[in-house]
Amino acid sequence: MIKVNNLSKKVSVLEEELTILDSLSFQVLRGESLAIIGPSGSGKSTLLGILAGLDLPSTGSVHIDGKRITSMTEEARASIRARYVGFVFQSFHLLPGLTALENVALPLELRSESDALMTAKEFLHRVGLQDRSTHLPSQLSGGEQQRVAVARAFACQPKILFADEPTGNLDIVTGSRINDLLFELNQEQGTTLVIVTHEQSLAARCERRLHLQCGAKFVSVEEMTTKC
Amino acid sequence: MLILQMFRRSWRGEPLRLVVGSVALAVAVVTSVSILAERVERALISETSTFLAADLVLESNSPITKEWIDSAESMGLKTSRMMSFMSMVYSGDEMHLASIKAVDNGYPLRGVLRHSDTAFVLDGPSIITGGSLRRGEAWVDGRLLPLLNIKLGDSIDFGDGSIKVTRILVEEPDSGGFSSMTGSRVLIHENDVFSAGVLIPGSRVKYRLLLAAEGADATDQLIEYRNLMSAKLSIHQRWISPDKAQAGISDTIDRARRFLMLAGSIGVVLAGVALALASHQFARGEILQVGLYKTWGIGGLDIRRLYIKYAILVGVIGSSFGLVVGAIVQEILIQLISDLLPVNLPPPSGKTWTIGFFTGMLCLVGFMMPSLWHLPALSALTVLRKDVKVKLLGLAYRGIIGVITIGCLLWYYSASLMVALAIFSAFVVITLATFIFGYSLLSLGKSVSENFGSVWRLAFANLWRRRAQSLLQVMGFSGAISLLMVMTIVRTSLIDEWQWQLADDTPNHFFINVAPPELEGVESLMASRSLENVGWYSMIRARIRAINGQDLTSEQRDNHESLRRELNLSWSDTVPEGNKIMSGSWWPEEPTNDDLEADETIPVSIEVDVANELGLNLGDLIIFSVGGLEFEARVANTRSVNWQKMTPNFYFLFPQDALLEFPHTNMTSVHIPSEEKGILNQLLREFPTLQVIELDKVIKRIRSIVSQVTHGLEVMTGLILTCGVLVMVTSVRLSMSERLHESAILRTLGSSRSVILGIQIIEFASIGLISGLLAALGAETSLALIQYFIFNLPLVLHPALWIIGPLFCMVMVAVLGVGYAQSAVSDSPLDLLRRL
Repeated sequence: MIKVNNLSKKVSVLEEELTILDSLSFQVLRGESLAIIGPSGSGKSTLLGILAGLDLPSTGSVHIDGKRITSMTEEARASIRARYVGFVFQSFHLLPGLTALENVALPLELRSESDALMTAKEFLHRVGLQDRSTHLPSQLSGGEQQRVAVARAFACQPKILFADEPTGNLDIVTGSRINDLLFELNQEQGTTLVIVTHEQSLAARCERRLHLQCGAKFVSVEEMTTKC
Repeated sequence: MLILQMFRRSWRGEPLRLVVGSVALAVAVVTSVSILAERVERALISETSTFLAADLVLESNSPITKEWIDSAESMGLKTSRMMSFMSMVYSGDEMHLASIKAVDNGYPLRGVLRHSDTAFVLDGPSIITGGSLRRGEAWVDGRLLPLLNIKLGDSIDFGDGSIKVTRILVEEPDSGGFSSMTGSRVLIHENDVFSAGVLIPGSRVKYRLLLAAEGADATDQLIEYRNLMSAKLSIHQRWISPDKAQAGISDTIDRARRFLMLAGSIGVVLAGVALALASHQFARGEILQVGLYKTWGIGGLDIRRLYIKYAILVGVIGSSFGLVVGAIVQEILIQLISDLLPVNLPPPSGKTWTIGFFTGMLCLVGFMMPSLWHLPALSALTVLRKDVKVKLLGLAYRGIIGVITIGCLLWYYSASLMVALAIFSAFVVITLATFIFGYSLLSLGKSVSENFGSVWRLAFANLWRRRAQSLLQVMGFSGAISLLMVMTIVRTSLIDEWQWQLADDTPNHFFINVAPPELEGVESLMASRSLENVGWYSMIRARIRAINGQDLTSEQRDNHESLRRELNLSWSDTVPEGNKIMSGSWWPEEPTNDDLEADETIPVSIEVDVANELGLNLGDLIIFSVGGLEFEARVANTRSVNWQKMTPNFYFLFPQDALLEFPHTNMTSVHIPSEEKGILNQLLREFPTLQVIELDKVIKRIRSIVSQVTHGLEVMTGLILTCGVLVMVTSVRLSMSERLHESAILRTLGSSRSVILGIQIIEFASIGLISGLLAALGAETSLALIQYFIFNLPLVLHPALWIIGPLFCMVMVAVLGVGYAQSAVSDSPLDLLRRL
């Protein structure tokens, strides 16, 4: 589903060139789950952005479903995102003025889907928040907000879901529930899951793990030996 | 549909409401001001029409043919015929050369007749307004009764017939000016003229065709008729339109119109500032949304289309709301001053609504779109990484676009490059001053605050850290306050000038045709009633016969009215009060022998406009004829005359002794209080040749118009002041979220409520103080331009601005800011953080 070939990302900081990602190459298969782990500043979020087509590498290429997105224009990458990609963010990124239901429905409405509200209701139900659909984000707890964000991501039925520290702002118990939800939906929809995380427990539930270290050196891609 | 849903959802948040509110405010101000301006202007023009008793008048020396009337009526115009001439009226042995005005049943087309059963009254229950006179009736000036020794109900002889005097004429709409002042007015029906047989071929009669049009296209109809018939205009005929009817009144209208335009322009600028601030806040709130759109695969172009549609929707909703509010506000204003307005105000034209709506849309393009412009270009990475910089369109670019928009609107509204430039210059001065002085003052404040307590240090550190935002706020405040200052000063000086011109003791009666032997008698009679005149002026009736040795040609006579008729000459040793020498020099009070020997020709001083009209230059020689006796005069100087002062003024003035040999009479002007008007009876009986011109009626009319306009302006200034306050509130609200955040953190770290309150007070008061100082600078500059170029007033500095302005601004911003930020002190830090 995702093929990364010799990917590097360098940025200029105070007139010095800093290498964030260096010669990364790996593949993620359809329906597979991959954890990108590593300490802060190791380039996890940068890699996620490039994999999702939100940013471009300095060298190397990324293919999604056989299409080389790193040589596409921003508009073309946007259309790839629309067809393949969903996101869950560490800080939820719910729109504060919209209710839970409206937040879930918004991306569907932007795609002009006629039954956007029905689908949104269904997914809110799936994450157990059917009774909170009219609540604004400020009226929901952190865990509830992230469940709404998960519902929003899966409601679009993406082929690949990128999750950036999805439980980073939550306590262990709540975080664990969110993880359960992510993997459940991943199983149900056959979604390819790419998760950036600090948490070993979450990484352990993924089929494979990509270790990044400070200095952005690629370490290894471990094959999962056990299933979650 | 999606756009509507987005709008409905975003409406829950404050930023969109502020944007829509600002657009609505812009449109409401502009609409109410422009509708009010248009309606009042049309009403004032209509009021001026009443000075003519019509919207347009054709004046002719010969009877007006049926063709003129038929053409007018076929075009849907209302018509009325009028004749005026001098004729003797008799009662027993008494006789009087009366000024007869004969009208048909339609008279007057504009304005109303006011009449009474008591002589010499201007107000009171005895006065009846409206109605028209019937055949066989005469309505006469009160002074005719003592002159003919008659009372109401008596008949007077007129030609072969006799007419019954039924009413005292208090006011006729077209009595303004001096046309009817030589004899007592006798208003009769035109049929009585024909039956009396007083008119014979060669009689000096002025014929008038009064015209009026109704409906929305009234002005067009009149223009069409005038264009159509102008080809048939003979040299003995001329058009009289309201704007030319009364130079003084049209000057008043012109000033009022300029002020209303100024008010409208200021409304635009204030609302523009509010909209720009609100839009910036709105755009910041949209950054997350755009980032999400990008991650969901919505392309930049689609996002741009989305926001353009969104902005149009905001514009349509805001503008529509503004139109409704504007209509309500102007209706309230009209109701407030309805008692003062002379006629029912005409409804606003469709043009004002269109202007209001498109102003809203243009404001949106100029003030909102620049803030939204860079949103589609935002990187989607903003949702992943906080270190990705979000760059909206720079302040400088937004400022330039906003200034261009304001410039276009100002120019469009004021239709005057000067007014637009004056306000514009204030804007430019304030912007530059804000960035230079504001920056320096903030920097100074920060350095000085190091020596004070922690509250001062924190407050100034906050201001300095957010200096861009602080400067933006200072610009908003200083702009609003500066414009309010301009408004207040311009309004005050305008009204002061008017009030001065029409002081309570303004002379309201002219005595003319007083023979030299009668002077003493008239003086003593006036002294017995403690009436004081402005001094006596001699008057000689003369014609111009030749200029520079050349006899006047018939062409010259046709082109210049002053060459056709007898002129009033007078003399004076000093430049009369209110006159100003424009070229040449005044003659010495006591000429030396050298002066006399140098030039034996009599010097003459000419009013500058007449000199220009006749093409007269210094040194030109004019031959005057006084009843067949001739003398030559040399143009010694030209002078401007203040016609608005109710004192005798003359086109031609000579040295005191030069014309003593010619027959002359005397004139003066005097203030006669209404309770002393009975003196006129006695005066006219004792001195039958003396003529009285009663200006009190005219003054009353002018005073009433000034009063209406002044009240309108007071309400209008109040409206703009309210707008200024609203702009301030908007900008205070816009910076509030960050302030609340800081306050919450400080309180979490252990700061007391009083510390937070102290910081807030110092921050807001400092912004207010800096704004007030800059506002005074901007206002002083634009006032100098406006007063000098627009109102032709001398340059005057306004020290009060520099004291009251900053103090007022400091207190107001501090009260508004601290009042709004009250929750930062009263709510718990946790509540604040959750809300943010």
